Amino acid sequence: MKNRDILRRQCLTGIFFSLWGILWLMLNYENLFGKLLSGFFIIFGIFIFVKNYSKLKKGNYEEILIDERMELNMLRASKKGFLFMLAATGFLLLLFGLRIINEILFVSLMGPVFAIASVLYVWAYHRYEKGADENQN
Amino acid sequence: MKTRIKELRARYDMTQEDLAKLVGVRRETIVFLEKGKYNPSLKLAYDISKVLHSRIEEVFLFED
Repeated sequence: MKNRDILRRQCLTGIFFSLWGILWLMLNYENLFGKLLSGFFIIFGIFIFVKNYSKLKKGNYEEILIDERMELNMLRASKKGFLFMLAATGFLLLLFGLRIINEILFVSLMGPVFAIASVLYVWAYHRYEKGADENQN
Repeated sequence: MKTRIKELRARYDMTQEDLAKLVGVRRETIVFLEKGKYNPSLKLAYDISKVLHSRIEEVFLFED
């Protein structure tokens, strides 16, 4: 995989953030804080998309070598992030199903869940790159 | 798993960077291979052995 693919992924991330912001806005249209936060996500998403799309169009990227060990580490880190997402989303769905939280709180809590999963992915990736748990592969 | 990559590299006066470029991986991967902390794919093991003019079993030493 080359850096071009990373830029494409970041474009998709930008679209995802914007869509998330729009969804949040639809659920928080009466709440000023919700509106502000939704606006932030929409603008942030558009910024990420435009920044990476312009780089992609200009061909302004270096070829980065991603070898099999790096791919393996990304895969292992993704697994950690995914498992956290699965557990946290399942827990929130359970609370939502039992009517302990409403849909607005559910959607609001999904944001931090995404953020923690992303941080977990980055942390796990760097940990594996440094050689932690190498004997597992 | 132990490897003789370092020894064979020295024989051919090759740096980790040179070997990494020849087999298409990052230098860090060669570092971890030399430490025996990473199990390479069969293709990478084959490529390394080929570059070092040896057989796979001469480069990678598996313990029972």
